Amino acid sequence: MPAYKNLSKRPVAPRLNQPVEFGNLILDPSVAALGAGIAALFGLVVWWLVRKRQKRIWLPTIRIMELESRLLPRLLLRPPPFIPFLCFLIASLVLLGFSTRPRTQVFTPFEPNQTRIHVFVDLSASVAAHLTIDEYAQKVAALYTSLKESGRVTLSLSDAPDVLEPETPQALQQTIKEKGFHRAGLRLGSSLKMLIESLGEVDRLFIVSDRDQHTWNGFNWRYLLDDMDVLFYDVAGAGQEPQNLFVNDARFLSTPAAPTMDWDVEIARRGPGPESEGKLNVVYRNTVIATFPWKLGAEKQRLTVRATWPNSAVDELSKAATEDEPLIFKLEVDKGGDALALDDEYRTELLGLRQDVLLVSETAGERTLEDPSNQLTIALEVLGFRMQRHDFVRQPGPDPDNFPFWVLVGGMGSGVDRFCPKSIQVARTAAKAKGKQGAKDGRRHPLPRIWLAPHALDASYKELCQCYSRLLLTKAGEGSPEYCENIDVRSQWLGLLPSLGAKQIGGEIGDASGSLAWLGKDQASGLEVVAFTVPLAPSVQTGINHAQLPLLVKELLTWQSILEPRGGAAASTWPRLDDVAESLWRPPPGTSTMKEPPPPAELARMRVTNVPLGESLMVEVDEATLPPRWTSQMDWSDKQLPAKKDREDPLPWLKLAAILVIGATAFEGLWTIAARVLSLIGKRPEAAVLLVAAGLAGAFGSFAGDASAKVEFNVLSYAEGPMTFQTLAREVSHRTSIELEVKPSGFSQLAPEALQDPWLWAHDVSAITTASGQLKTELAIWLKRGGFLVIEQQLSDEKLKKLTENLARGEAAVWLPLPPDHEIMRSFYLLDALPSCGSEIWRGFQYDGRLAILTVPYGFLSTLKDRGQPAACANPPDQERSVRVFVNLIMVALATDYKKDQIHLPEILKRLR
Amino acid sequence: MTQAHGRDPSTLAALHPTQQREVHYRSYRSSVRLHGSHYMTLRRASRMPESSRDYRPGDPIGLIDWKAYARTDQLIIREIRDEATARVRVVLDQTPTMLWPTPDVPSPVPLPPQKAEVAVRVALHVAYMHLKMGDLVEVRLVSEDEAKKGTKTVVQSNVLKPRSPVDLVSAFERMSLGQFGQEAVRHEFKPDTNEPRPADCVFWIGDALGPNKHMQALALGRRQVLVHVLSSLERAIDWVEGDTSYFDEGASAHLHRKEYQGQVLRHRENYVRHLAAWQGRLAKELMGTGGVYLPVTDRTAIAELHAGLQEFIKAPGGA
Repeated sequence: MPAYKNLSKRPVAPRLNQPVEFGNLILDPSVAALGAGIAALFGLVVWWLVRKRQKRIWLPTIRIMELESRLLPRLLLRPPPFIPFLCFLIASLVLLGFSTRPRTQVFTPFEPNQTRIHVFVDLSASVAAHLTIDEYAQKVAALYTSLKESGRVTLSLSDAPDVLEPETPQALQQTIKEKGFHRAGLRLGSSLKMLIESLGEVDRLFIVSDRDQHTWNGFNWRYLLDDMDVLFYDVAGAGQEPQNLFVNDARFLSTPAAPTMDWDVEIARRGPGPESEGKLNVVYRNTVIATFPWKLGAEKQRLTVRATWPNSAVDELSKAATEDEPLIFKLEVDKGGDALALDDEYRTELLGLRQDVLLVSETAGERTLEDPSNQLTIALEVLGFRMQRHDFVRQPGPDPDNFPFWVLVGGMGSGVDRFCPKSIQVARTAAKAKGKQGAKDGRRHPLPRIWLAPHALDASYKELCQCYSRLLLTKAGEGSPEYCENIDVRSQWLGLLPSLGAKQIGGEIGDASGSLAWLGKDQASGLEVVAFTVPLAPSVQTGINHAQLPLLVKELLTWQSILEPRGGAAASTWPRLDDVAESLWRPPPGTSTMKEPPPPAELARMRVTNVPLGESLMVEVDEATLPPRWTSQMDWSDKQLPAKKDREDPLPWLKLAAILVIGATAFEGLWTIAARVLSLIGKRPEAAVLLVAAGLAGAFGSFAGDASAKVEFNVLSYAEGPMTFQTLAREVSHRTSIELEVKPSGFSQLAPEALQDPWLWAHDVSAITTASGQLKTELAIWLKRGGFLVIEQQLSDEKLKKLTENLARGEAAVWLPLPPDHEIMRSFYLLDALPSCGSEIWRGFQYDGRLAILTVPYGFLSTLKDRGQPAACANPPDQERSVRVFVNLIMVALATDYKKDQIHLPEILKRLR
Repeated sequence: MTQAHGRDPSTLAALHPTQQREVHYRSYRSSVRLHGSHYMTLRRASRMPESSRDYRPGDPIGLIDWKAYARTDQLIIREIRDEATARVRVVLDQTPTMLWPTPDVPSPVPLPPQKAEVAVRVALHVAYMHLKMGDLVEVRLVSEDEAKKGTKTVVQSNVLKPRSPVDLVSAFERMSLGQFGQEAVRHEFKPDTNEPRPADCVFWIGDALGPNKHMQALALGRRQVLVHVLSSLERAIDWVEGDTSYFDEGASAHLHRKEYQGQVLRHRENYVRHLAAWQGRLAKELMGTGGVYLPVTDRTAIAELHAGLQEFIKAPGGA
């Protein structure tokens, strides 16, 4: 029987400060004390009020008073109103219930069929420092055995997200031994996050691990407590601080052409320690290339060992090697402790290996100068390439896999087959047939990079074109394409290349003649062909000199990633993997992650990559931050198991209680308000009317529109359609306090609506006159009643006189030019003159001592409207002047000659005295 | 007189029935015979030249002012009105609200006399005045017992009918010896079961706070005076403390118990405004029936009371 069977209930010894218990509920004394304190305070307030009230004095005249006693409500001991009191009672009881907590955490008993236990086994390198894989497997198997009876136990190892359910402990032991520790680091946070998504319901999670900081960092295990218990089985021994030596870094030093391979290998130690010594073996393809002794002084933490060996030592080995073969620096510690064996091996890419290059170039003679590729050969050798040169190609040519980089120099006129191998064409077609599979198998650039260059500027570009199309475009067996037939000179070749899909290298944008080369790419196979348009040799004609050629070649090779920058690739090929789940796990089924699993070859390589620094350093986390521990001798008690899962979730009850409190309080409030309103209405019926009126006012107030006070005017017989005065209105409102209506109402004929406003603009006098030329009667009446008419038309004196015949009171109608002291000239702005149009001037007709009709000799309004036209006069007024005149007009229209009133004169005179 | 000791002798708190009136009190001065305080309604022709009118047939010829006829050629009759004895009823309100201020009222020393005492002083003084003027005076007492009976007319109560001013003064002295206590006052009155008859003049002297219907009592008089006795502490409430509560139990079912905090009373002059409004209502009520409203307190000057009463005498519509 496992020890944790009896964890359900255990009696708690009563103590003096023990909370008060009601069944399984505990009323916390502190909460109760707080409640009592509040109640006492409340009582104190009531007492104070009552005490105050007790000092009472009889004052008989109060009999006739009807005062509002709102300043202090009378304290009368009455039975409380039933419903609010009930609400208050409910809310109080619920709040009291809120303040209790369960006395014991009652766990549901373990049901083997219902309880799900998951064991997560950490196989990261740091664990290996504490025990061997055999011991580890044994411990895990023991745990598995002890848990087996308590429920369904599943298990997962940190190297993969697979969930195991081993039949026997022995099988489990065997599995762990087979897998061993993995070199990649483990981050519990990310790996458990991925795992738990696929695990489903788990009641208990056992984490079998050490206290390594790298492992636990960033893992908030308390977050999991909402769903499960988390227990930690610590396999690390207590107290001891093991020594650990490891290879921290290796840096390649040699230049490409150097005869030796030089590395600086840094050996590091976890914390200062005693003197250590040992050997550093350099292993390549299971062969020890070189061995270097080292000695790390006491209290020193790092040491750099210079490792040097001749290139020839690896040349033979590297020939048969695949790309994934690492160079291993292996640490042998003879003296001084080394806890972790896994991190004694440091893998890196073998750098400094000479790359093979195939150069197909025919020479014109024996002498160096006659060889078009002499300088190119030197440049490539300097860059560390192993040159293999052929004068011509024996078709179908070498296997593309033999050389990663080909340089074909042709165009000598001896035929395309002489320098252009067919093997590439075949390989490309085969790769294309395989489709994307080839690109996915983890191998980079399965087909070689090819440089295709003319031997001289006057080379046969036709042959180059044919070779280019053979390499990149045509299938095996197809003849040379027709478009190459007409290619004779470089410019034609340059003209064709873009249409073949090549991209320009060098030269100016949009000017192909200055280009150095063109890059053609077959997307399906990844084959790249750089078709040079100039010979790759120093030449006065091309401007490439002897110094520039090697640099040019180097730049191009670097750009094409054929020549990799020193040390750049090492880090990416054999990295330190911090998180095994992030890098190596295939997403487990059922998880939502969109991560693509790495390809198998890549995966295999990653598994043997370097141990992360965090694991090597073996820093331990603070034990207080770790989950409760499980040990095999553990006494299972509720103290050590802060289980959440087994308790019934109180959240619904808490929510119900909260709803009850809020509901009761709200209902109480509403009830009281309603009762008060009703009693007020009962006492004072007029209050109901007021309430209704207030409600209606509120309702209508929300619908009421804004009141506006704008100056409106009407326009009559303007042919150009509706006019808007956005700009004018803005100007007017900026300059004065007047808001002008943007859109005046337009009328084509004199309608009663046009006379609704006291200001009317008429463009055509015929619209407002009768057949005899007099003003229409309704307009005359409107003018007499105070209307202000502006006519935008030149009219002769006779016409004007006739116009106002029925307005003049028996006297001759007087039309006068507006004098300089007229109110229009000074009602807002001080104007010296009104804008005239030719010889025509503004005239005004005074009626009843005010300006009633004004004639403007041109289309004044048209100059002011939005998108207005300038007046057709010889001397059109400028816009600013027009606006000023309009502002003055508005002032006159609104206030006539208000300045003549001189209402301030007495004040001014008084001040002057 | 012990109660009046230390009080301002010019105020009602020290009023004695025999208090001298100012010499210009009109009726006192003009009535040589001291037959009464009121003029008869009827005028009779007289040689005493008080007023005159045109001769109407039937008038005694001897009363024609011939000298005037000789001067003006008009027959003018001289008239005179006789003074007469009036029936004066003074109703003295001694209901519980009159027994205020009670000793628990925190007032600056000395505590002013109770309203009841002031009412007795005023009542007996008015009665004395009218007795001296030759009127028939009765003083009626309205106290709690009667108020609770709920009888038809409240004025049906104890009565004191002094035969002479001396009777009144001696009664006052006895009450004074009894410190104007309820018992001492009541002792001077005798029960009277007769229905009160209409009187020429009715005075109601009280605070008008009791349930008794002062208007009903006053309605029995042709002329009515309400001497509204309030305590000076009721008139001005400077002594009221903000956090003390002031209450009134209410005298009957329709007058509820009320209680206000001192600050409520003081807030925006609440108390003073309401009191003034109430007095205004009382005055208006009386004005409607041609009566006189005379508010007094223990601090009211005696001269002010006299002036008020003089107003009453002079008031038109009477006699």
